[in-house]
Amino acid sequence: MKTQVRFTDRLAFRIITPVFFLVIILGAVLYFFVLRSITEFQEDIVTRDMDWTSKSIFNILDDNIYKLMITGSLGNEVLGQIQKGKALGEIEDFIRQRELDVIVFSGSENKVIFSSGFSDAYFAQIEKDFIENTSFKTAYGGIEYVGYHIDFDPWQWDIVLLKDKAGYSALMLQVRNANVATATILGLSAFLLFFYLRSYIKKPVEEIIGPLTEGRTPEYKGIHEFEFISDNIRSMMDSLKESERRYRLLADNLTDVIWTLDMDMNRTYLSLSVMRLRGFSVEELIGMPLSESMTRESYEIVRSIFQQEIDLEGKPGSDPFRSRTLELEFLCKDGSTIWGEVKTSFLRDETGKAIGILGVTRDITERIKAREALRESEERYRQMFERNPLPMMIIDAESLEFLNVNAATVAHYGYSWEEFLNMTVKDIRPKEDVEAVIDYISKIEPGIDHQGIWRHKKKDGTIIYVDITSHDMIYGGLRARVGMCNDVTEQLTAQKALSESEERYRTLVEKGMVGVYLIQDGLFVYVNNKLAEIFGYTPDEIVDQKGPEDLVLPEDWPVVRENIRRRMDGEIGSVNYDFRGQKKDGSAIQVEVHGSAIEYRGKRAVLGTLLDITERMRAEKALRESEERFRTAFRTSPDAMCINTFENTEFIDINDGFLNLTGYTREEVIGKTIFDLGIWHHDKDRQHLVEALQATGQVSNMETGFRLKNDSVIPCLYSAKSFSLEDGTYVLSIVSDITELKSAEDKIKASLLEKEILLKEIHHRVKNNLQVILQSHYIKEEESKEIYRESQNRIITMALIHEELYQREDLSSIDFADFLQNLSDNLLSSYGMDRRRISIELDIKEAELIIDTAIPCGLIINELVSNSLKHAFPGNQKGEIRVKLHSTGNKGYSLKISDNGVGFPRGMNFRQTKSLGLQLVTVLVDQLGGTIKMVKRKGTTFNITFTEYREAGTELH
Amino acid sequence: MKKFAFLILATFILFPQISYSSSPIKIGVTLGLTGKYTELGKMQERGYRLWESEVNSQRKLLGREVNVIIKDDRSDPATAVELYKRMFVEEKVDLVFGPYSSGITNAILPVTSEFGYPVLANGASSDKIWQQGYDHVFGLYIPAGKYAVGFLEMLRTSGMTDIAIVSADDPFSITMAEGTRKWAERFGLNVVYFKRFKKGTSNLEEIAKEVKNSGAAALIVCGHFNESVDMKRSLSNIGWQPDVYYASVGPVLQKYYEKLGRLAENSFSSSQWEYHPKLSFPGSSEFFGTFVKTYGIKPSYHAASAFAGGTVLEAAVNKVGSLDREKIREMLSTMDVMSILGRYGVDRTGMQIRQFPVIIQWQNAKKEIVWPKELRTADPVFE
Repeated sequence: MKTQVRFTDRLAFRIITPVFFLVIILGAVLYFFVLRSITEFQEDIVTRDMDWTSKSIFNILDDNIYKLMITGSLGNEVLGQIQKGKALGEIEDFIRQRELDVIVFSGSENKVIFSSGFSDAYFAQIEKDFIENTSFKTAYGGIEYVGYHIDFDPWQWDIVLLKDKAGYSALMLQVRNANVATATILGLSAFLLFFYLRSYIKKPVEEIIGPLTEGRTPEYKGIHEFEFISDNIRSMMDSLKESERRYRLLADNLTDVIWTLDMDMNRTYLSLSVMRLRGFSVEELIGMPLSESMTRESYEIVRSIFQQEIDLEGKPGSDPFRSRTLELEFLCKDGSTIWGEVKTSFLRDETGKAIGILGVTRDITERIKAREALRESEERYRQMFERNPLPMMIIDAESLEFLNVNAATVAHYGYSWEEFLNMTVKDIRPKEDVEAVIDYISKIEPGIDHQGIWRHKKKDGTIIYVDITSHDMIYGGLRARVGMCNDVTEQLTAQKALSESEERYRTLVEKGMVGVYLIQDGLFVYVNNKLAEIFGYTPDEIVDQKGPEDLVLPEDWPVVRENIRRRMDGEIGSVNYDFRGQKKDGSAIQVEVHGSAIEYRGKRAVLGTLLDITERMRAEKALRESEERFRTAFRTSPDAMCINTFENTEFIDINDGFLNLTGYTREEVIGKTIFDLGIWHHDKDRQHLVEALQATGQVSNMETGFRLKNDSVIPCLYSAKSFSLEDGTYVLSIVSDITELKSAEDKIKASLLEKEILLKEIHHRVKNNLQVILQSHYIKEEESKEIYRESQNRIITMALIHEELYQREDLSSIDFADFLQNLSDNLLSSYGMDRRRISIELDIKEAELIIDTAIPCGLIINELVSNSLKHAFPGNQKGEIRVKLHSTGNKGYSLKISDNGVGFPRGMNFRQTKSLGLQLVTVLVDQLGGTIKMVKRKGTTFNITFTEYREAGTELH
Repeated sequence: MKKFAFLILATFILFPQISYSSSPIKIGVTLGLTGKYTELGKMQERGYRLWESEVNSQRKLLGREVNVIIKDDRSDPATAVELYKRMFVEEKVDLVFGPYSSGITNAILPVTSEFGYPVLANGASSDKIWQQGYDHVFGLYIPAGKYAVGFLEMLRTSGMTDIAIVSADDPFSITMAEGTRKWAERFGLNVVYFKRFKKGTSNLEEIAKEVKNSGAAALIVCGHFNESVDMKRSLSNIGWQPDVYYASVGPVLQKYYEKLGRLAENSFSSSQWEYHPKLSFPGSSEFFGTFVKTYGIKPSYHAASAFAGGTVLEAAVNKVGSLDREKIREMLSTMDVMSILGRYGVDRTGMQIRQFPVIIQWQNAKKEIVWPKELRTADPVFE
């Protein structure tokens, strides 16, 4: 058994601690004694040091006065003063060497004659406390000093030597170190003593305790006191063992298991009987934790009870001899469990303190099993009652109070279980039924009683119908009846619903839109209003009055009769057909019947429904006729027409026109696809068709090649439209042969080409003729030459335009940029301009001009550029001429001709000039319907704007 | 032969530093070879060269020659600092001497302290140097504050009472002026005029007039060479001369007389060293003779202090037996040796306490020792 011992209760603590503290106190006393001694020693040294120093000062003074005396100058004031000065100097040197301070006060002069930094006032302050030739403590400026006063009478000097206490710091430090060292040694000694004593006590104690913990008797020899203890323990243990042996014998032979636990719930003893009970040996169980030797639930109980008991311990009034009885489930070695009744109480020492637990365990497994079987049986019956889906209730046969109800009752009736127990059966009956119930119950015989259907009332007031069966029983000592109440409200409600349903069907037949009839024995035994109405009768006029023959046109009667017979004879189950009926007014109507044979009132009968289909028949006929018309139109159309499936292009139908055009027979086409026939000359046309149909659902007049049976291809216009029917999407195509049309078009094209060539030829000849004109003149005079050159340039301009025209495919317009390049080259050459001196920069964008615009425009540029070449750059002046033609959108153009030359003469109006060129420019701008502006800045700039108007057919000029 | 070869080999194995250390010991110093301290700097240079020559030719130091590396600091503290740094880092000198002048010495102390070089201050005497807590600087001169003590004693015994003290504003001059005033008062002299002027001011006539007006019979000028000359000239310019004219540093130089001529007559000064047969400090006569022979002029105390500095450092190195700078520093702080300058010994702060100056006076174009009485070559002349 391991017990917790406080540290302060340990032997080592009790013995060693006082010793330890004694040493520490001794050390402390010693420390302070040493400290005091050393401090006194230090102060003694300081005093002696100052005493010695004062002797040195005396020596200095003695030497100096001696020098005066020996030379007989003691009375000489001057020499005396000099000697005193020298003495002061020597004192000054001395104190510096000795790290001292000094104040020298001359009594004869009554002033401080030398001081190493101390004020006269300070001297006056300390003077009062002087004791001659002794040291004293003082402070100045926050520094502590040891002072020493010397009185040198021959010169009446008071000399105070001052030593900064810090000057003794080294000595103080040594003292302090000595103190610390002493304290450390003492502390260390205390610890060593502590450990020595501890180990010296520990060894014999261990030699005694060691065997004891192993259950052996101690045999310690050595220190007398411990040997005595060892012997006594051995003697006590021997007698204890004998006693224990007896008890153990007793315990081990009992059926019950006797055991003890320590306060940590570790087993300390188990009787041998445990092996018989659980199969474990004592040793196995001793080493096994309690938690592993019983079920978890049992262990939890043990822990809880143990804790409760521990809590009770020490509480006033708690019985020290109290015991607890528990039922616990123990684990056996073979894995099974047994139940034990455990009686426990605390083991206590002589002081009454609980030191363990004593217990006796008795096997009660059989008892527990029997109790469990009984409980399970009871549980089963209880479950049968509790969990029965039908409401069950137990009532007191006398008071009719509820003794118990099951969960189904609570759920069904809405009352809580507690409410039921405060109610009687009367409370769940409609008031009017209570008397009858009481009467009934009073008469019930013992045994099963089927009470039949009664009304019960739920908590929410709902009345339900219950089928009650009950049985008598004794419940809790009372005469009682247990009853089962089967709620049959729904069944009763269902029956009611069925009759209501029948009513609804009846209404449906009576008021329906279809005629209903029942024929038996050749007569209508039932017709509804609608049927009577169809034939112009009332039902009464037909039922039991007329037979089917009365309502059928005589021509159709044989068929109807046969059908009725077949049904009556059972040849067929049901039939659906139409015939012509005869109304009351004799008119005929088309009817459709759907009838079948049934058993009615034990005999065969024909039940049927009848519809008046006169109108429907009429509409169907109209449709058929319409379809026929369309079919005829399709078949007889002169255009080739065909219907294909959209999905796989299979020919569904074709007309005669198609057959005529392609040369195929109908059989060769129907069922084939367009790929089978290869009718598309260009597959891309077919793809285009498919895309168009997918996108818009139709194609109109697509020109394509169509391959015929003989493999020839004809041009055709192909139109198609897709449409959807129930079974898919189809394409209706119409193919028009345009072979002749194409032939006519080709002829027109050929004719046009011929005219174009002709026109080019004309332009060519115009140009050639102009050139001939240019070459055939030869003029000598300068003025005439100039006039001629201008004319020549104008003609060249026009010739260039014509040349541009006939060299182009499209005769309607010219590339003006190309033309201007040629024109500018020509002008520069014509005026013999050096291209390094004068340059013409062209900036032409989007300029495709028709000839009506090009010629005036070209001539304007010719005139203005010529003008700049002639006048803008006199002498050898360099310059640049810029021609810029830009489209301004909507056929509008901006033409800018500028030069950086000398500029247009001041005051001259270009519109009124005599220059033929400029006049021509004005006229040509007007002809273009444009505007012209001249800007004179850094040369001359003409801004011309105009819009090109193309009349219809200009392209064919 | 084999035995001899073995010995050589063993020597090299056991004492490898012998072969390594055969190069000269480098001792660096900067001097104002140009600038305001040129005269004094050159004097010191000659002193160092003489000592270097004597060691190398006669004794050697630790068995090696010495090489005194002298650099021109242009009498400028910042230049000196830079030069000392270079000597430590680039030339890796073994030891150094202090530069000339208290101001420049003070400027280099942080650097020498950082690099761990002890400084034998052969050209500085300002008390301030030893009041800053440095433990590596050791004075050769008596401190500036005591320069004029002998002169003051002489004045007091002559019966004069009213004196004027003027000083330049460099550390040496300031310290000397303050010390002189302190000692004057101790001796019962009356300081009727006390003035400081900016170093480099050559026209001191205004001060001269004020001194005249103060009624002082004696004028003490605390400064260097130029101040002593300038003040004398300024006094001359205002047409007045005090009964007694004392100037530090300047009058000890021959050049003082050369510059002022007759005007230099009767000027007093303190000298750290003067050649005198009665001053039988070891080597003094030899130094004087060799100097005159070598350079053709008489040495001033500046040259003597440079030479003496060499011998003091030499003694310290020999006592330590190595170039361990820390050990040399310790040795310099405790050592008591004789040099041509007298007795070397410093107090706890490194200040010189065993040296004493003599008072000289120009009389008939000659420097005469007038104090101490026992060493007098002539009686002092008070006008």
